[in-house]
Amino acid sequence: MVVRLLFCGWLLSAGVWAEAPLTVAVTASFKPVLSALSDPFSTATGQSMRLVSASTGVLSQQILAGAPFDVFFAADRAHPQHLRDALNLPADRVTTYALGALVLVTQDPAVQTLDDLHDYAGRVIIANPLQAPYGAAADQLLDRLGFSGTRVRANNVSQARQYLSLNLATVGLTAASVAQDLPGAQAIDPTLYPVLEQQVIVLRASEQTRRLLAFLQSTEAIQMLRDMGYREPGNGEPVEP
Amino acid sequence: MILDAIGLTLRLAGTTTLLLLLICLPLAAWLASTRSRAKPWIESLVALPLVLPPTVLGFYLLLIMSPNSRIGAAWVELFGQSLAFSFWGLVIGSMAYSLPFVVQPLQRTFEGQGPLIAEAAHTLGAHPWQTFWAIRLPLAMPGLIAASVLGFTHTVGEFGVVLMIGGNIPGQTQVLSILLFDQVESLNYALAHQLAAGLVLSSLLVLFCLYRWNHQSVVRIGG
Repeated sequence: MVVRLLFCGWLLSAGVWAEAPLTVAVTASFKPVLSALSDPFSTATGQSMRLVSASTGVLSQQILAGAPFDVFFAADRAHPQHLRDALNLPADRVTTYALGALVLVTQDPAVQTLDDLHDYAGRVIIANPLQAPYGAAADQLLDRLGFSGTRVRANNVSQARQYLSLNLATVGLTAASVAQDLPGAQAIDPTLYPVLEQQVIVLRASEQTRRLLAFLQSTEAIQMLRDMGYREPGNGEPVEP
Repeated sequence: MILDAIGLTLRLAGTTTLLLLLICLPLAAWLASTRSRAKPWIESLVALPLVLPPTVLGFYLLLIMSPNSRIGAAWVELFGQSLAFSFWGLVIGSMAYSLPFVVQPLQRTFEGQGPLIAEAAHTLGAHPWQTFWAIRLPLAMPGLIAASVLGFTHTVGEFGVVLMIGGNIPGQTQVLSILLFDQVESLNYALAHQLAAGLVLSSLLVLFCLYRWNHQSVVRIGG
């Protein structure tokens, strides 16, 4: 009897969700934004989404292997462009949604500013340059600064934040969006590292994905983007071709 | 890159196995003969890494290694470097992870010896230590070899724990399994194939030798 009741309850609850939730693959750096926008989005559109998060490289790999994502928010241009070619999708499926920023997080007295990294011999946490665009940008920045210490490579910017929040190392370079609640985070001059132009690719076009992308243009969403350290594209900002 | 990872993996597995043998020999000998009420508790603790996801171990290790914890802070004070992302951090993680693979074959071997041999040695005036070194340990050699091989190969096959506490530093914490993961995720399949096939072949070879030898010996793994 109990089993039957539970089954009926399950059927009823399934009926409430008339529309299946969108499955959204999101790069680790943008996940805080989409998580925060998830509730306002459902309220505004009656549509829910579930987020799958990892580094851009890992998610691209999963998409090529047939992962059932509706839309993919990457942290660069290269991966969405590659996916569009590989999957033979039309050009208008890819658009730029945000410009990201790298921050220096330091609790080490020896590293007060970015330039101190030149003589720093300790460990600096970055995301894995092979899979995370923020990691690649951080890696290039460290090369440029002449850093010769050890680079600890986290799987993605979220793990980099985790390492920093546990004080496993005192210095790190990560995405501004995940460093909001980390002590000792400071902005970096954006001309010092490659532009982090983040693109989104629609893998399965539908009314729901269109609604999500439209929602990201809303005042509420743009404000959230700015609060999390992003700049919105197309405001006369220089974007690399 | 591959050579660094191979060297590091062998060094890690070797160090882990040696240290585990040092701890597990007395522990297994004690477990095999004790009638203590604590025995099932200790056996359960030892077997835990067999059933727990590596992420549980990784999570606790991260917390312990953090300088926010007492142990982590003491380590930084002693060695001037945090335990996480270091070779010795990986050794500690691997020891916890491979513990049952070393204890269990040893314990079975000591149990297989029965109490009679030790009692006979005792009646002839042998000290318990003498009995252990001169009689029980040499007799336990097959179990010791099985325990070493299993501890070593299981450490080579470790992934989840090192992914969580390693930091993926080439030459320092980037072991073979992590390098393979890295290459797969960055679509470098050529190198990934080499690594994966190399691991399959070498593991198969080691296990074949072990089971071949095991077949002929008196003491068997898990027997």
